[in-house]
Amino acid sequence: MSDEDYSEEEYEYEYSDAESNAGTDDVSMDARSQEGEEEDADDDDDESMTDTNNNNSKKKAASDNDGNNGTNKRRSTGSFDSRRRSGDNPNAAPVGGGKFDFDDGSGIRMLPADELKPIMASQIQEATEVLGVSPSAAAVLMREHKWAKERLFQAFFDNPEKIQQKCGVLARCQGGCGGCGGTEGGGESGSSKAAKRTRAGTKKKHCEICLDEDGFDADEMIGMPCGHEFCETCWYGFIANALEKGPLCVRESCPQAGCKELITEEEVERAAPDLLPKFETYQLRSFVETYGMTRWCPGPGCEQVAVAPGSGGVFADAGGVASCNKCETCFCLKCGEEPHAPVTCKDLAMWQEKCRNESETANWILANTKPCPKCSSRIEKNQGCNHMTCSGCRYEFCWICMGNWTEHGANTGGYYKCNKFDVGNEGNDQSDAAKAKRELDRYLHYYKRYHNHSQAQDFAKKALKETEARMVLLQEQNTDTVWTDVEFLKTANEQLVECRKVLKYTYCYGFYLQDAEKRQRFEYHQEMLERFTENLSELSEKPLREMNRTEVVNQTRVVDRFMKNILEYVDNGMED
Amino acid sequence: MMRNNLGAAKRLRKELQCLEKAATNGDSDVDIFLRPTSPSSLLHWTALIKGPIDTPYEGGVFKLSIRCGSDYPLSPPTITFDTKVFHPNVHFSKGDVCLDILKKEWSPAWGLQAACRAVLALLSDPDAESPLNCDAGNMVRGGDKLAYWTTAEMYTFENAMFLGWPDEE
Repeated sequence: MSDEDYSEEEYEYEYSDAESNAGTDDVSMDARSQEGEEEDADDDDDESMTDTNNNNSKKKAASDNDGNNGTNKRRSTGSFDSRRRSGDNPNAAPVGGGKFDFDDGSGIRMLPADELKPIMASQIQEATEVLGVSPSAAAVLMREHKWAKERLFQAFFDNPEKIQQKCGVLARCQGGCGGCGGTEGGGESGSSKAAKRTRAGTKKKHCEICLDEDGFDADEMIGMPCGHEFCETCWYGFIANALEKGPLCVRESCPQAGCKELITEEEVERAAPDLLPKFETYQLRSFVETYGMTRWCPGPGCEQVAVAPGSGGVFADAGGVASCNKCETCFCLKCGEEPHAPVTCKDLAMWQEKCRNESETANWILANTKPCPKCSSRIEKNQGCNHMTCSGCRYEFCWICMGNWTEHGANTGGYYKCNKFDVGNEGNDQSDAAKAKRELDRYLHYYKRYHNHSQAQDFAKKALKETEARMVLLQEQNTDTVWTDVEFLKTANEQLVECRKVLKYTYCYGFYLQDAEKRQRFEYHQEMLERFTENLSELSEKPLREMNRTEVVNQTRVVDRFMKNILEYVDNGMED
Repeated sequence: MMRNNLGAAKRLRKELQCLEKAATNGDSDVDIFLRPTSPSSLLHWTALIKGPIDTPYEGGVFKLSIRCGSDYPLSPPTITFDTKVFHPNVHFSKGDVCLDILKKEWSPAWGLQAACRAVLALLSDPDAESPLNCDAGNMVRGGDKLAYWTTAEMYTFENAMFLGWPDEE
């Protein structure tokens, strides 16, 4: 069955009965993770994937705390109660002429965030059954293990108490009753003050937060599984305050000082039922960010989630390109960046890091300066003779042999030569500088071209907006043409954007390509694509009067084929 | 939130009552003197703490300024040193304190006195790994105990020897 036409019943079935469904190809989650159990290689991919995801989620969390706009973006997802699919859900079957298909062939599905709730629920359900703990505890355990079931199960059965303790659900799991509260005098870790007060004889209970001296009746108190109790009003304030902090609220622990037991939806539901939907939104959000098979659409303000297909493979390389069915953003499923073939996610991240930080500046300094032999100030010699005077310590020395200038004169070769220079001795020192310089030149070579294509891509994107106007003009120019006759202009421009993007990334790919022979072959293809792209760019920017439709159409086709060739070539490991 | 605002004042009044009761009973904390800065607002407090013995702060009396938000005790109070102090986790010129329980480890079941006690503990036990004062941090991290000790002691003598300890009775 294809994704486009599944009905409500089928959907329900998918998630409610994970086991029996593992074989079908569009039920991704369970099939995928079961594979993971058997294949170590698969596991590794999962690991690295979770890590990238985690970084990303940290980033997101951080930005949320800076300003509130990010928080609102996810928070506004709304209540999950409306999550049950109904027939008129626009995302269920975008057959109504939508540009992007629900499943674009790569198997990646775009779902509204709410629809991931059943996936999360089925994961929690499974952990609940296997581990024999309450659903709220299972949810925490799964989240703390980034939803890597197998890892959790194994660790759990090795030492359940250690894991429960680490994840902050020890009392929740040991208590059994799911934290019905009512424990007299607080848990063993409760403060002695509380214990003293309760023992003092009054039936009333005391709240450690508001310190209200009248005390509270038992039914006005809400307890944690760990035995710590607080009054309803303080609990509400505590939860509201935790939610204000943003996504991290899902890891909020018991209000008692030093108590590590985590609060869950159980406490939120009892103490602040009106805030439960918001809390659940954060839970789901955390799920999407750590699950490893899902990624938020990076489009600004977009709340769609890309879900990887279960058949595996997609996450292993750079091939997983998702296109959002709402905001039309295209992104790499694995790293969330713009699709970046032929370069891999890992190399791209390295490249971006390299471009960002200033390590190259240090290389430049190494390549172009020498330290003063006396005070070690870095000196750049940009002109003049070899007789140097350090501006810091006034020490006079020879730039070539770095020796004291007093030993120099006409007999050592004068101002522009130095026969004291010992190649063997100086060779080591030089080679470091020379190596750094070579590396720097190499980097600059690739960076310059990467940057040029990046700018050209932006330019082509901008031009895309003007193209439509040009198309109208072109159509008016020739009275007998129809709209489809001028559409070639748009196609050409779109092709240009695509080519610039691929060319841009061929330069980071080339930078990390070690094999000299392969690089030579790769660069040949790169050069061809570059030439054809420039050609197309020139043709499509010509004044409309000189526009030759056939020429442009042909060139577009040639360029497209070349682009695909080069990507395929890289995919095949560049064997001819 | 109206509810919280009232809560902060109510809770702080309770804390003040506790402190005053302890003072009349003569069993208040000997190292910490803690009162609202002025009778007009309970959200701004001043504390005096005695430098712990066997530290370069011994003998000094340090003044802390404590500000509570209207969401106290759900959010931690902000504590700054008014007295200049040389310590890895205290900002040298601004007096800000870097202390986990005043940030993410805060619990609403803590009080202002507990927070002051935590600051005292920090004076005895600096954490060089998250320094606000890099010079002090580097001395401790680099194992140069003598340099840290003498510098901190010098600043204690220079700045923390002038405050008298209030008579509570």
